[in-house]
Amino acid sequence: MSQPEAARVFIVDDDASVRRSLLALLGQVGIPAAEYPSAEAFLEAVGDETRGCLLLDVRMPGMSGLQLQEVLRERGLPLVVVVLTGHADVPMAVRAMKAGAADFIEKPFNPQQLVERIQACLAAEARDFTERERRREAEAMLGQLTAREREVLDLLVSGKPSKVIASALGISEKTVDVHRSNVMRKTGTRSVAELVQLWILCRSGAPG
Amino acid sequence: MTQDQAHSGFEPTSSPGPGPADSVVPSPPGPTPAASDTPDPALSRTVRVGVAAVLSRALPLGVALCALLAIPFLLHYRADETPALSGNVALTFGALALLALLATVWLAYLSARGRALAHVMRSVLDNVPDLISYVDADQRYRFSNRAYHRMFGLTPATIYGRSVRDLLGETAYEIVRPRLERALAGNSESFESHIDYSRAGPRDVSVSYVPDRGPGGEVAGLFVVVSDITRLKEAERRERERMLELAHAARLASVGEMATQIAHEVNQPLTAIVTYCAALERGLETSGGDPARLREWVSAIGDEARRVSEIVRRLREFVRRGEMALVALDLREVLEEVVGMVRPEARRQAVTIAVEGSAAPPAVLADRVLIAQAVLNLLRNAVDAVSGESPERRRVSLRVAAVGDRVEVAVADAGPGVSPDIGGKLFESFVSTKRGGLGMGLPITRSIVEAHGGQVRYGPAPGGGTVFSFSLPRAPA
Repeated sequence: MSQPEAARVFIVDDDASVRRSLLALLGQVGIPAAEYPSAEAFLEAVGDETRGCLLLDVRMPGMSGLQLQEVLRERGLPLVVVVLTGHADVPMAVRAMKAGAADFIEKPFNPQQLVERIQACLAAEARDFTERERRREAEAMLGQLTAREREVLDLLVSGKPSKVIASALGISEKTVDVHRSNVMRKTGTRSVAELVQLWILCRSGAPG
Repeated sequence: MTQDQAHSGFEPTSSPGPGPADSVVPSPPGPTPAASDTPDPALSRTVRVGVAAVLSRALPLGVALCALLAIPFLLHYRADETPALSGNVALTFGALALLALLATVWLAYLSARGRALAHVMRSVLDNVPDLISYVDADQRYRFSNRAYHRMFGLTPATIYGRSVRDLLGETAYEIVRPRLERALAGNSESFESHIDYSRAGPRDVSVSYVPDRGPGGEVAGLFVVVSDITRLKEAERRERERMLELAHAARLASVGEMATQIAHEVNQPLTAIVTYCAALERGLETSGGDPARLREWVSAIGDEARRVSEIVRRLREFVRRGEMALVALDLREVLEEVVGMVRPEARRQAVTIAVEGSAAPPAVLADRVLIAQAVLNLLRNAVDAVSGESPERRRVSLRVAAVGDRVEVAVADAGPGVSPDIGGKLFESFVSTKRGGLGMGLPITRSIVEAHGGQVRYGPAPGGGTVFSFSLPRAPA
């Protein structure tokens, strides 16, 4: 597992004054940030492990904010996008939100509110990130199980007692107990309740 | 046909003579070409009327004469017992009667042909929409077609003999008089004019005077053709008004477009300002802020605020129209003032600015602030145009000079010139070759100069570069 990057705020705006002022403000609040003059410049810098919040101006020469959102979605980058716009343009806002923007802020904004929203977005992003990490761990742990152990687990979490599991799988009750203790050892869980939690976490993350 | 003759007092019947056919038209009641040569029109008229009277009775006279001559001849051959006359005398009478008959028939034929011809010509002239007339050397009408009747409400008979001055009215006559006199001196005259006729009201007309030269080359009168082009001119005026309305609508549309643009332009610096302020506040609260950095933010805020006020000012100048404070203005003073405003920026870009021309030009009537703005835009453009040039070409010159009854201002740069593909759009809003330019400088300058009754021109400057110029009318002394 590669070391994940720290979450940052990425400012993408064609106006240098706006970028620099945002950088100054976020610097003061203690939020790490980076600025890019265009969508293209940001795409060059962004990597698969990049995480954080994207402050995106919709109206830019070259690639527009909406196009950038599209590219990010195709690349599967889980960045939280906050769209900045020069004027209240409802259709534009709708399109940005449909494209997956988390928030929509009109210029000139109240800096206090902007900071709060960015912090909220970063917190949400951090939650998402831990969730993703935990799911990845759970998947890794369940991946260690043998096929028979997996069968026992599936029946176990559906609340079946050992006797029923044994007859269902055509094995002795003792063997079921051995499988169960192996599953709990491999996953580091101490109770069936914990096991169920892990199982649900894994299922929720499973695609489809 | 007889009615026609009576109506016009015009007897063209027996002019089979040597005169050219068209001489029938202008020489009114005298069909005999000899009469039209008569210098005295009154006398010539008397003669013509007399001849016409005789000719109008020629046919019955011919018939009567024929019958009279035939009587002795017939008597001679009917009373065979005692001839009263000798055979030779009777034969002579018979021959004379025959001759008289032939002459009468011939005369009748000529008369009918002449009348038919005259009728056709008369109909043509009367059905032409243009006014056609013949005016003699005394400026009296000798012929007029029905179009005159339609326009002035007078019959040809009442127009006949009337003076041009009387028919047109004093005001109208004074307008055409110089032309009329030149035409009577032997020059063809052709002109368009707006004439207020006392009998027909104001009209736009196109007028032609063609001198009618007698055999000796002297001018006997004028052929006059007048076209009423009032409707045509009105249509042209309406078309022009429509174009103006369209231009106005287009301008309004561009103002709407501009508002969106302005909102965006203003929002950027405002965003930067509020953001810097928030950063500053926090920097001051934590007191751990680096003073150099805080100072940098403060000056950034100032820059952004100036950016906003510049946009607002440009907008105001653009929108403002019609409410000008006109004063007698020394353009040299205005130029020096504007140069003072631009000099710091020019110095930074190592551009030299020279003010040349008249030290004390005549005053013009203009709005000081607006004219300064117009010059400022041109000067800024000029400085920007040369900023990328080699040091010896980084110069701009302003020139003010009286030209006729106007005072001209010219701003010349030694820059790369106006590229032909932007040339046509140079004065449109939001057309800019400068990075970050709003493209409003030249449209504003043009609006201001046009509001002062001038026009902005541009062309290549001697020695390379571009010169923009405009002129303003001198203030009345």
